[in-house]
Amino acid sequence: MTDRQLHWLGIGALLASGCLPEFDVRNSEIERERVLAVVAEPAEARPGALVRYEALVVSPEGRVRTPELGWTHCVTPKPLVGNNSSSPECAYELGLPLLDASEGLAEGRLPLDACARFGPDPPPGDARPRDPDLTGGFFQPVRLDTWGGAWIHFQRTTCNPRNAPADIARAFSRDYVSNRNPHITAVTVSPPSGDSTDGVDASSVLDVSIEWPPEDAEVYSWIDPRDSSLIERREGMLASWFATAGGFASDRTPVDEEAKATTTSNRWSAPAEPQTVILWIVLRDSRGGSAFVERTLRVR
Amino acid sequence: MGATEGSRSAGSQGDAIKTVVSLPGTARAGPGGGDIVAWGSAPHETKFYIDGVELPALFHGSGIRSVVPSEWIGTLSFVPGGFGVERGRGIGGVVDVSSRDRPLDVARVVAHADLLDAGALVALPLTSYASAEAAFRWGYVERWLGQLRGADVGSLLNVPSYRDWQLRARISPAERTWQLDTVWLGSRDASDRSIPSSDRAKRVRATSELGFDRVYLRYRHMRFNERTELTPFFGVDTVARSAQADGAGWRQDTVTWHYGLRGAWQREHPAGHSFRLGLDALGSLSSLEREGTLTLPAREGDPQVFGQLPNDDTAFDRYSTHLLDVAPYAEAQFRFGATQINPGLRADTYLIETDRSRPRTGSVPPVGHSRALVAFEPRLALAHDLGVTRFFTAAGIYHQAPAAEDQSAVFGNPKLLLARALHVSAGERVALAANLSLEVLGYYKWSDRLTARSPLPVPNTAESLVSEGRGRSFGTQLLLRQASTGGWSGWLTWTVSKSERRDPGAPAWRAFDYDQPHVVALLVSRVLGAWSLGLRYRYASGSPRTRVIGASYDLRSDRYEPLLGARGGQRLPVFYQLDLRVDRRWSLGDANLSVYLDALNVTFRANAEEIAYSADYTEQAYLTGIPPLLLIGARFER
Repeated sequence: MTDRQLHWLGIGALLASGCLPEFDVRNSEIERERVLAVVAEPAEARPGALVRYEALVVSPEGRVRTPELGWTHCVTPKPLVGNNSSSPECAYELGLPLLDASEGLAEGRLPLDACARFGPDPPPGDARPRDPDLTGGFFQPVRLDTWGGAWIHFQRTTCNPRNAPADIARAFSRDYVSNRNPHITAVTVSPPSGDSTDGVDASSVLDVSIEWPPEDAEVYSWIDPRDSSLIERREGMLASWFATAGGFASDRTPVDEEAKATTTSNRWSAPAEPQTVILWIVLRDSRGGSAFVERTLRVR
Repeated sequence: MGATEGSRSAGSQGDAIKTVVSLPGTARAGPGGGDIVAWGSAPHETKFYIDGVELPALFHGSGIRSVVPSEWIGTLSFVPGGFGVERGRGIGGVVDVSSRDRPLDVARVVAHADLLDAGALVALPLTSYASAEAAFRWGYVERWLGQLRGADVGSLLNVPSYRDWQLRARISPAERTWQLDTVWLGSRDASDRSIPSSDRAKRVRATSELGFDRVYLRYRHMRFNERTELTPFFGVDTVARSAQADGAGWRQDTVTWHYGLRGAWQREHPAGHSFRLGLDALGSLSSLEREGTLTLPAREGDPQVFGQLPNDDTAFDRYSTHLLDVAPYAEAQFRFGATQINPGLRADTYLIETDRSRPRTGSVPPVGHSRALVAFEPRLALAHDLGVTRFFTAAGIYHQAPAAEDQSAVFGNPKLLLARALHVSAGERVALAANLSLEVLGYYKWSDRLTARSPLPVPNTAESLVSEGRGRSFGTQLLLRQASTGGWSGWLTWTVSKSERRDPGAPAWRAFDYDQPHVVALLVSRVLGAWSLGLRYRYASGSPRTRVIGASYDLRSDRYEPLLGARGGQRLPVFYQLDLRVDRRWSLGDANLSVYLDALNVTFRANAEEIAYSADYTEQAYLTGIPPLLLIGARFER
């Protein structure tokens, strides 16, 4: 029976191929030079503080050790319309350049007016303060320019709480601990691959998992905007998986705030042809800290 | 239009109100057709009334089913603009539904079931001067549709579980000089749409629970040349909506209590003149709670891309508003030979109050805001008969109060102004033959003080929205109508229009989000004894969409974000769809049984309803709308 005949049975019509188009593009597949992560140290800083950045730049051939990067602090706040996390101008404006120390590293002081432009301290007058993210944070956008496009890192910036009662604001300032980057303490490939010299079978399916210390999912103070109460929350984690060949079952695997897991895993299908494959796993905490790890697998 | 005519049209599934979207002057608002876009007005600018009582929505979900069954409806009228002084508070059009007047002494039972829902109506005479009528409907389409189509359905259509009910008690004395109806209308919608994914960035969930109740008394008194009508009413609307994706999202809970009174006294002069005085009073007390990003839900004109996940900025506000509008009006009708002149004046006096004029700041007590605004709305309609030809023209000024959702000190602006519009139309109707007429009408709409987002990157506190939007729309609509003759009936409409908006601070006009230069609808019905056949063909230009010209990568959320070109810089492809309907009726003594088949999209047209993008915005493809679909239903009437 043809599809068209099935359609006429009504039920067939409903089973017709979906309205949602399918795309071949997978975030986890490295098919061109890309910036996968920026690790900032410290992960959260006050305006004026010196921050050191390390970019993970990769290509299908592996990590790009000496990428040509331009680093810029954006200066244009995000408009009220649009769903993007930064203003359209941030992708191309001149901004405030950072010192590029080459090899994917850079450092610079957070602009002194970061909390005014991107935070809760509006410019003089009666301007509306910026809204925080879900964790109560404010971020200074940092643009990385490569030949492949614009990549925006959001540097968490410590700003004073706004619109909270005085006693809550005092308690928050006293209790809040700035964010620290998480660490990936172990990467497990099952069946075990050992070190990079061991091989895995072509077309085999492997479980890949990472671990982090329990304390890396930090507990932090947060002012609930609903009733201005001070609450302790625990960071959630998000692992992003990348490979130069083969395919991950999921591009990202989250660990919610409520979950107290210290590990997350993914399933990776090895390519059918023998080759060397590089995996990168980027771990992000919900306050903007990040870490990454690289593993090389030989597919035999 | 009568309910029977509407309910027989193809594609309506027996629902008379669904034909509104095929009437001249409307644009196609989306795959379900649940929104009414009248002469370039945004959907929320068009008002819906039943027996003069305003309803918050006309349809369940995305136009799945109207909130009142066809068995309950007497007449249905749609005026896309230039309406009289009896209606106000809206700068778009008006859909007016009157409940069906049944004889008091006749019992009636109607039951129906189809793939969408099942329902029944029972009308019983209680005494010689009193009757009662009850109807109930239960929708179950989401149960099987969601299982069969999964996430695809939720991506475009809101297909809720729904139910509605209508109760009426009527008293009318033997001399029938007056009539008193007590009516309760209720409706509930609930939907939970999700696109599950192990990838958090792709996990989307949207829930909504909508409901309304209206209780009203409708007293009508007729004596000689005078008519009096009084309708006190009371009601409540509940809205709970949320959308979540990648941990971010938006939530809004609103409860609005309505109270009001409509009254009209009309006197007719033997020479054909008449005079009408009326009062249209409405109070709405809203309690709102909203949480999430400022940019959801999207507003008309927002530069947005279908499927883009919201950013994770979050704000919260809890506030209440009170709107009271007392609008006395007067209208006269003068006849001078073949000329008829209807001047009218409506004076809306608004009291708009909010309990928070600024966002919460520490322990500072809230300070409210109260305003009294007066809006005079002169209206004029002229008509001139020349035998088979009738010329007519209408003009009027209209106002609309800001929505309670827009009066938040955090998300909106508690001091928004009344939106204002001017409607002008002129046309000619020619009787081509018995029951066949051709009508050509031109219209122009100008609106200003429209609520729009502030253009400032850092707006003032409590001014995220401003009353600085402007709109203009003009066009010509053609209606060739065949009233029921020899079993044939139907109409052909063609609307050619241009609708634009100018955002605050914008240097130029842009295309209105629902701008469709050409909209054509052809409806034909043929009754052949016990058989009834119907055809509906619709054609519409594609709506504007904003083009994606690139993308940047957000390293915190690990996803690409689009860089957008000019708003409305591209259009969806044209839409067309052919629907057919077959209806067979059997007489079973004093009862009737009918079975219908509604075949939607019989040409297998894959209409593009939205543009979807790959995760990195390098690829795009169209989301297609309703697939070919065969719906079957049965109706029993006694």
